[in-house]
Amino acid sequence: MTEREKLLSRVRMYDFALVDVIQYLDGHPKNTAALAYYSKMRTAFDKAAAEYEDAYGPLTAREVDTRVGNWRWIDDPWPWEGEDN
Amino acid sequence: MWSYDKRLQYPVNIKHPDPQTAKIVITQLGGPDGEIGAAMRYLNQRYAMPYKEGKAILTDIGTEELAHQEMIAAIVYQLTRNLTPEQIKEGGFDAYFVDHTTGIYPQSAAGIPFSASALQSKGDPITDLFEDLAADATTRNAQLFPPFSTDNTGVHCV
Repeated sequence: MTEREKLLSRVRMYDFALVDVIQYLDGHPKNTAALAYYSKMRTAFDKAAAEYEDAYGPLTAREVDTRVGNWRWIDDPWPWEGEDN
Repeated sequence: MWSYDKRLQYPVNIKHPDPQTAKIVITQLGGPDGEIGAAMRYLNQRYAMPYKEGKAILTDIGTEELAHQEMIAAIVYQLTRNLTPEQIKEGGFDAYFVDHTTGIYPQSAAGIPFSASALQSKGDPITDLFEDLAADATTRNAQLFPPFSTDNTGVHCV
């Protein structure tokens, strides 16, 4: 696994936890344990996403660092291309 | 409104092309129990939902289904990458190929284009929720169908 894949897998891990707890909270909006878990995963996700983005470029078109002087959003690889591309 | 994250919900890294498997997996994209149908079902049923919990769940699950369809499309794309003419013929991929080459076209395994006739949005939340339960059961059936237990390790990982 490349360093890029390692960082991205952490982003995915925390995102998956978030997807799950968000859907649980939709149906159980007052559950304090779920609210706390959401908050913890959000912090972890934000940190992992920032680390990935600093090293490998933006994950969303709203987080592009324009100081590098070009529009990095379009850079390969795109998600469906797999690690060999 | 939606935003896009430039990553898959789960990685897809398929090493070897396998058009025979692609032909089956594509039904999970555009077939009667596929992810596009799932997304369209939940996202269009939202408007008849009177409860805030239900509105949120239909929105968030419908959104997740869009991420699923991206993964399935990525699997099909990678399974049909760099095919030789022999692989296309031997894998029985020639019928798909003559229509779409290796473009990702949402269809069932039998070649029927994606159709909203495989889903319902009835304007009644109880009716819609029962339809969702039925859809969830049929999707599960498709996912457990033997051809999905392919030898292709890349597909198996997903």
